[in-house]
Amino acid sequence: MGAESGLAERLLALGDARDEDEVDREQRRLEVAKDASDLVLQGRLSLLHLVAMKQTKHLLTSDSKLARTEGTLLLAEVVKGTLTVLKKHEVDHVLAFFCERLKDWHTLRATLSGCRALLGNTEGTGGSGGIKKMAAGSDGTLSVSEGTRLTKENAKLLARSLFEHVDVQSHSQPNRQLCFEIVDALLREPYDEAVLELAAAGPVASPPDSSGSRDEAGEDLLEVLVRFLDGEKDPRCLLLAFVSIERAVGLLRGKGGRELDLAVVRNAAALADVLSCYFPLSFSPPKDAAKAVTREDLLEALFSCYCSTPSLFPHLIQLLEDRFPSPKSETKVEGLRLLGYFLEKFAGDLRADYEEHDEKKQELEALVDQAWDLLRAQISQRQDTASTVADASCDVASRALEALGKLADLLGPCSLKVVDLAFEDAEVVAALAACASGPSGSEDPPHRPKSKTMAHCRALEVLSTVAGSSVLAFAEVLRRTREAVDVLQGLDREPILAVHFVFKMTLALGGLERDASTEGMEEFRVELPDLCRALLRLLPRVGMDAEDDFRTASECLGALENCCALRGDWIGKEVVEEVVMGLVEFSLSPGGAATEDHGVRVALVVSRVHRVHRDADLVDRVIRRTLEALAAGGEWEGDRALLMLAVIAEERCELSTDIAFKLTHRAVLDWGHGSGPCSRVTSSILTKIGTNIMPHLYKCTCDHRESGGTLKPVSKIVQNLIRLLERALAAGHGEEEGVLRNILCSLSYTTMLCTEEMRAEYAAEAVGLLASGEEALVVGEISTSRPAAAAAAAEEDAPLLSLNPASEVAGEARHLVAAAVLTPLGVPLPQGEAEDVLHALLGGALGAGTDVAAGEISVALAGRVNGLGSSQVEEIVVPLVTEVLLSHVRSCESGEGVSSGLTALAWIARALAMRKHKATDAVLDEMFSVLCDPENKGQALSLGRTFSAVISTEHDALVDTWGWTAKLLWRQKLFVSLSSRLFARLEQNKGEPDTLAGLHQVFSHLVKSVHFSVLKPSAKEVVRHLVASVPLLLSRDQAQAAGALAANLETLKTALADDAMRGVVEDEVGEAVAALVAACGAGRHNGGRSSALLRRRALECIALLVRLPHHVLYPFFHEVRKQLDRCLDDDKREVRSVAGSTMRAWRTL
Amino acid sequence: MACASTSGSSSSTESCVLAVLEGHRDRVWHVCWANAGDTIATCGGDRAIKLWRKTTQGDRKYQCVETLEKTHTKTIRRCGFSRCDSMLASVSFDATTCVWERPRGEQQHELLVTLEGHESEIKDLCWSQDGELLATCGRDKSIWIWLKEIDDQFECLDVLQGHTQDVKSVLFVPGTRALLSGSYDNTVRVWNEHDDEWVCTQTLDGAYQGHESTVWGLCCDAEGSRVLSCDAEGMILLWRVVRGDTEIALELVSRNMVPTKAALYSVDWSPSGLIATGMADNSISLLQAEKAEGSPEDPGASRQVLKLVKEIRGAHDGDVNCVRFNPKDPGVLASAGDDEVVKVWDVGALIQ
Amino acid sequence: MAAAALDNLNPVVRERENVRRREEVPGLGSLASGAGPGTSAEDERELIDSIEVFEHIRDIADPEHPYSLEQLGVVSHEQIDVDDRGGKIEVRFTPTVAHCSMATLIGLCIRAKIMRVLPPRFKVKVELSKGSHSTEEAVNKQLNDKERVLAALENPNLLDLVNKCLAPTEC
Repeated sequence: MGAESGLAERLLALGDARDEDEVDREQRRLEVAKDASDLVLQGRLSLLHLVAMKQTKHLLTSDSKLARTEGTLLLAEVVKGTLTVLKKHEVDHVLAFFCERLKDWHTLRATLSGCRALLGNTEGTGGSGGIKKMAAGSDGTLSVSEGTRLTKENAKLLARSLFEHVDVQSHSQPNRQLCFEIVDALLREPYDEAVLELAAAGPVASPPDSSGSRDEAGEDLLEVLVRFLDGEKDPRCLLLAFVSIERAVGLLRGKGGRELDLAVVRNAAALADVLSCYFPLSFSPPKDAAKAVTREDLLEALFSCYCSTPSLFPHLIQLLEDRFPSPKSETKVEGLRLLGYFLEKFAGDLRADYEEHDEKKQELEALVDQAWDLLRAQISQRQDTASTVADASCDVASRALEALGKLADLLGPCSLKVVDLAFEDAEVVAALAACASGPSGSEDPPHRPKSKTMAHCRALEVLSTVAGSSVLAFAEVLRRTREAVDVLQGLDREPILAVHFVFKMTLALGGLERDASTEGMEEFRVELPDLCRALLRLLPRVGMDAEDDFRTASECLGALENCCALRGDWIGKEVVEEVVMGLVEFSLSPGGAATEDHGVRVALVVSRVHRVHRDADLVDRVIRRTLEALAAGGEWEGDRALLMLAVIAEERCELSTDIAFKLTHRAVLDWGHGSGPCSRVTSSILTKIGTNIMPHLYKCTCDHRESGGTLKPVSKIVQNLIRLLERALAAGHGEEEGVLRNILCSLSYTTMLCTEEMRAEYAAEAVGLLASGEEALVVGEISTSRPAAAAAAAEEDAPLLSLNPASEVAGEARHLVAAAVLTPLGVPLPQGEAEDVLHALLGGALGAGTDVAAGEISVALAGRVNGLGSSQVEEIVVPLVTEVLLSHVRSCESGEGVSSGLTALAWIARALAMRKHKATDAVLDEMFSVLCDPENKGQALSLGRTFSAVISTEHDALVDTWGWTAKLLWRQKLFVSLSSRLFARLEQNKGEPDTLAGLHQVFSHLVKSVHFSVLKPSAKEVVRHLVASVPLLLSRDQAQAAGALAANLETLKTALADDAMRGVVEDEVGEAVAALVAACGAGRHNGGRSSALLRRRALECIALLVRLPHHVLYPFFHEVRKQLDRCLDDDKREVRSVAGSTMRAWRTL
Repeated sequence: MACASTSGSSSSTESCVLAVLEGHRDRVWHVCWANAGDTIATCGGDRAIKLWRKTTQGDRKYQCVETLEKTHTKTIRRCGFSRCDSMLASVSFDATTCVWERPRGEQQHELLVTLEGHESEIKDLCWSQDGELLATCGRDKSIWIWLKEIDDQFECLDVLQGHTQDVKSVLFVPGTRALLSGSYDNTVRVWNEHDDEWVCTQTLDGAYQGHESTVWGLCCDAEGSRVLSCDAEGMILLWRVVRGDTEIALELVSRNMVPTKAALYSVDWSPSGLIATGMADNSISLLQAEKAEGSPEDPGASRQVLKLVKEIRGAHDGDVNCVRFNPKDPGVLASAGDDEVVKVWDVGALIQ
Repeated sequence: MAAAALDNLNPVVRERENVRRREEVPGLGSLASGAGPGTSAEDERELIDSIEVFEHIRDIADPEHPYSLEQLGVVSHEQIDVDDRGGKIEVRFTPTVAHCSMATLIGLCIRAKIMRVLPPRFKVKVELSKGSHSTEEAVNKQLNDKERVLAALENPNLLDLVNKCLAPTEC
C-alpha cells in the first residue's frame, strides 16, 4: 500500500499546479498515470478504487477547472494504459463519467481523449489514405490491442451524449479532431451497429440550444454530422468529417431500412448545401509535412461524400451549373470527374427509380435535360478556346463527352430521351444538314471556316457518343441520321464530316457488338459492306495533302479497321477480305496517294485483322501481294512493300518467320544466279532483314523458347541466307560490303535459332563457301555451330583469317564474332570439339597478319574460353597457352608475331580473370616477361597497349556479349595481382626507359580501369609511379605515350582531390611539382591538340596541389607561378583559361 | 631559364649581357650601384632589397650576397647608397624610409633607423653628395629633407610643399644643396636652400616648354652642369644648370623625343657622358649629347641635342623600370625590369 | 570608399549578350571555344582576342549596383582592342553617368583582372571612352600610371573592394 500512498500525495500535488506550465504538468501527470496504471495492471489497485481514492475524487470533482482537467486527463491516461484489463463494470462507470463530463466545456479536451481511449485503437482501420496518414500522425498512445470493447449500450450512450452535448465547431482544432475521430470510430466496426440502432430509434440528439433546431423532434444522425461539419476549415478534421458522413450515409442506406433511407433523402439538401461550400476545393497543403493531408485526399473524400447517395443528384447538377461559369478549366474538369463518378455509381439506382415511379420520371428527365445543356455547353465550348488553353479545354470537352455517354446510359436502354435531346440539339442538326448538303454538285467545295467544321465534328461526336450508350440508342441514332442524310452520299459530298461520323460510329459500335442482334442493327449490318466499299473508294481521294484531309484519311482507315475488327459473324469474312485487300492495294498503289504512315497503318490493320480473325490465307494473300509489288521492282513499291512487311513481321511474331523466309527467298530469286551486283531492291531487302526483321525474330523467338514455341522454317531461312552469301561472295566486295554485312548479321542471328544438328549442316555448307577476305567473321560465327568445320576452315588457310582493317566489315566483325562465338544460346562443347575450336581460333589469331585481325579472333577465342567448364579450362586452356601460345611467342622473331601472341595472351588472361581462375596469375607473369623482354623494347609502348587489353575498360562493350557484366568484381581482384606484379616490374626495369614506358602504358590503363577507391590501399606506390611516369612519358612522343600520360594525369588529379591521399602526395610533392610544371609546358611549341589536353590536365593537377599545407608548397611557389605566367600565354584558349583559374588558386596562398 | 625569358631580344644583344641577376620574386623597381662600383643594390615588389657583389673569379659576374627583407611591408620603390657606401636608404609604399648601415669590417647590413613622416607611398630618395642630407618624396606631394646627425640619428630639416601632385623623383645637384624634383603634375621644380630652408625658385611646366606629362626620372652629368628629365610621353629634356652665387637655376637646352614615344621610366648619365634610358616598351636606349648640326661651337653646351646611339629592343621581358651606370666603370650598365630580373650590360659591346 | 549615395539610382540594364567568335557561329565551323577536337589546327595558335578579354571582364561587378559591368553597358567587346602578337590590349569603358565617382575604381578592377589572368607580356591600356566622363583625362592618367595602380593594389581597403568586384568573374 506504500505505493498507493505515494501515489496519493502526487495525485494531490497534481491538483494545485497552477503556477507550473503546461509541459511540466503534463510531464508529471504522465508519470503519475504511468505508475497508477502499472498498479492497476499488476492488479494491486483497481480502476474503481483509484477513482474512489479521495485525492482522485477531489481532483475529478474540484471546482478549479485546472484540477478537473488534470484529473480527467489523468483518468484518460490511466484508461489508455489499462484498457486491456478493465472489467466491464469499470468501463461502464468510467464511460458514464466521461459522458457526463462531455457537458463540462472546460475539461472537454480531457474527456474527449478519455472517450477516444475507451473506443480503443482504430489505427489502420482508416478507409481513405488520408485517414491512415493521420492515424500514423496522431499520438501513438492509442496502441491498445482489441481487448475490451464497449458494449452496444456504451457506444449508444457515448454517441448520444457526444451528439447531444458537444457543439463541435465552437471548439479548438484538437478538440474538433478528437470529436471527429470518435465519430469516425463510432461509425466503424464494431460500433456501427449500435449507432445504426440509435439512429433507427429516432432523433439522436436534441440540439444544444433547442431554439436553433428546426423541429422539436431534434436532429437525426445526418443532421448532427452536417452540423459538425458545417464551417470546418481544418483539412484533417475535414477529411475525417467527409469520411464519417460518407460512412454514415452508407450505413443508413445500406442496413437501415426505408425510414433511414428517407432520412437521408430528407437531409440531402442540407448536406449538399454544406458540401457545396467545399467545391471547388481550394487548399494547398504545407510543403514540409509528408504525412499531411493532400488536396487529392480531400477531393477524393469530398467526391465520395457526394457519391454517397443518389438523392444528391439534383443538387449535384445544380452545383455544376453554379460552378461551370468559372474560368478555371480545372474546376470544370473536377466537376465533370465528380459527375462521372456519380453517374457511374448511381446510374442503376436512378434508372430503377425512374422505371418504378412515374413521379420521378419527370424530375429525372428534367435533370437530364439540365445536365445535357451543361455538358453540351462544355463540349461545343472547345472550338472557341484560344489555342493556348486548347488542351485544357480539350480535356474539359472530352470529359464532358464521357459524362454525356454515361448520362445517355442513365435512363437505360429502353429510353430514347437522350437521343431525342441529341437530335433536338441545334448544332447536331446543323452538322447533319451540312453533311447532307455539301458542295451541291458544283466543283468547288463550300469554303466553310475551319472552326465551323470543328463544331460540326464535335456535334457529330455527341451523336456517336449517345449512340454508343446502348444498342437501342445506336439503332435509333442510325435511323434518325438516315432520315436526315444519306451517309453514303455524305461520304462523297462532305467527306470530312461524314468520315468523322462514321469513324466515331464504328468506334461506338465496337462496344455494342455483344448484344448487337437488334433489328435496327441488323439493317446496319446489311449496309456495312457498302459503307466499307464507299470508304475504300473514298480513301485515295482524301489521301491528299491538306491536314484536314489527312486526318480524314486516317479516320477513314480507322473506320475500316474498326469494321474489320468486328466479330466475324457480324461482318462477313468476304467483306473483311475485300476491305483488307483493298487497303493493301491502296497503300501499294504507285500513284502515291498513300503516304508512308498510311502504309504502316494498313500493315497494322492487317496485323489486327490477323489477330482477330486468325484468317491465315488472307494474310498469306496480303503477303503474296506485297511480295509481288516487291518483285515488280519499282523502287517506290519496293520500299513500301518492305516497310509493310517489316511492320507486320514485328506486329505478329508468328508471321515474321514466314515473312523472313519469303523475303530471303525473294532475294535469292531476285539476285539471279551467281555474279553481278545485287539490285537495289535486293540490297534493301537484305538491309531490312538484317537490321529489323531478323533481330526482332530472334528476340521474340527467345521469348517463345521459354513458352516452348518452335519454328521450323528457320532452316529454310538459313539456306537462303547461305545462297545469298554465296552470291555476295561471288559478286566480290566493294559496294556489296553493306549487303554482305547484313547477310552475315542475319545469318548469325538465325544460326542462333537453329538446333545443333541444323547448325552443323549449314556450317558445312558455309565453310564450303569460304574463299577469301571478310569471311573471318563467318568462320568465327560458324565455329560455334561446328568446331570441326571451323578447324577445317582455320587450317584450310590461315591467311583467310586476316581481316582487311579498312573494310567496314572489320568493325562489324568484332561484334559478329563476339555475338556468334559467344552466343548465349551456345551449350558447353564436348571436350574434343572445344579443343579443336580453341586450336583453330588460336591458330587463326597467331596467323592473322594484322593486329586488328588478331584482336578480333582473340576476342572470339577469349569468349570461348570464358564459356568453358572449369575442368576444360584446366585440361585445354592451360596447356594451350603454355605449349602452343608461349612457344610461338618465344620462337617467333617478327614484331607482329609477338604482338599478336601477346594479344591472344591478354585476351585469354582476361577471360580467365573474369572467371577468377587461378591460372590467371601464371598467364600474367608470362605476359610481363614478354613485355619486359629486352628483345621487344623497341615496341614496348605498343605492346604495353596490347597488354592492357587484359583489364582496360575500353573493351567492356564488346565483352558484354559474354554475359559476364554481372561479375564486375573480377576487375578488382585482377587489379590486385596485376598491380603487385606491375610495381615489381617497374622497379626492376628502372634502367630501361623504353620498357618502363611500356609498363606505364599498362599502368595507366590499370589505374583507369578501376574506381579510385580500389587504388587507395596501394596509394603510395600508385602516386609514386604516377609522378614518375610523367617525365618518362613526356619524353616519348608517340601518340600512345600521350594517351597514357593523359590517363595518369587524370588519375593523379583524382588522387590530389582525395583528402585521404594528401599525406601520400606530400611526400612526393617535390617530384610532383617538377613533373607537373614540365607537363604544363608539354608540346607548347608544337602546340598539338593532345598535348594541349595534357597541359590542361597538368594545370588542373597543379590547381589541386594548393590543398596541401602551405609550408610544403611554399618552396615551389615562385617556380609554379612563373610557369603559370607562361601558361596564361598558351596557344590554346582552353589551356589559358585553366591556367587562369589555377593561378587564382595559387594566388590565395 | 634566363635565355628563355629574354627570348624577345636579338641574339646580338644577348652576347652583351654580362649577367642576369635572378632572385627577386616580383618586378624589380630599382637598381643602384655602390659608389665603389663593386656592389649593386636592387629592390622591388617583393619587399626585399638584394645586394649583389662582383665575384672575385671571372670579373664581371655577380652573386647575391645579402637580402634585406621583412622590414618594409609594401613594395620598396627605390634604394640608394650614401656617399661613402656605409649606409643604404630604402623608400617604400608603406610610407617609411629605412636606413641600413654596414658597420666597418662587417659584411651584413643592419637596420639603423626607420624614418616616418610621409603620409603615403614614398617614391624616391636622394643622398646629397656630402652624404649629410637625405631627400625623400612621394604621393603626399611633399619632399622631406633629413639631416644625418653625428649619432647617426636623422632629423627632419624641412618639408617642401609646392607640387600639386605626387612627386616621382628628387635629385640633389652635385656640389650643391640645391634640389630638383619631378612630379605627376608634369613639372620639374628647382629648390634652393638658405640656411636649412628650401624654397622653390623655379617651376618648369608647359609654359616653360617643360614637360606635358608625368616626370618619371631626373639625372645629372658628372660635372653637375647638365640635367636630364624624362616623362611618360617619351620626352627627354636637356637642361643647363646656371649657377648664381647662392642659387642655381635650370635653363632649357633641348627637347628630345625618343622614337617610340614610349613612357620613359628612368634615365642615367654615365661618367663618360653616355646616356641610358629605361622605357615602357621593354627597351633601353643609349644616347649621346652632341651639339646640333650647323650650330657654332658652344662651350656652354647651350645648343646640344640628344642623338640615339643604340636601341636595345626587348632588353627585358617587361617595362624597364631603372637603368644605372656603374659610377666607377662607365662600360657597365645595370637595368631592372618588370620581368623580375636585373641585367648587367657590357656597354662597350653594345655600342660597337 | 563605399559611396554614401548611388551616383546613378536606376541605371539601364542590358541583357547578357552571347558573344561568339566567327568560327564559333554554328555552320561556320566548330562551336566549342578551344575545346573539342578540330577547333583549330593542331599547331595553330588561338589568338587572344577582344572576345577572350571581354569574357574575363564582362562579369566584373559594378561597385555600387548589383549588376555586372556588361549589364550596365560599361564594357563591351567592341570597346576592346587586342593585338596578340604585338602584345597590346586597349580597353575602353563607359561609366553609367559622366560624373560617376566610381570610374577610377572600375578602371582599377578591369586592370587588376587583366593583370591576373592575361600573360604579363601584354601592355595594357585602360581608358574611359571618349567624352564619357567629366574628369576623363585625370582618370585616364591615373589608370595608366603603373606606379599608382600597383600602389593602389597594395592598399588593403582598395584591394578588398577590387576583390569584391572581381569575385563574380572568378567562378
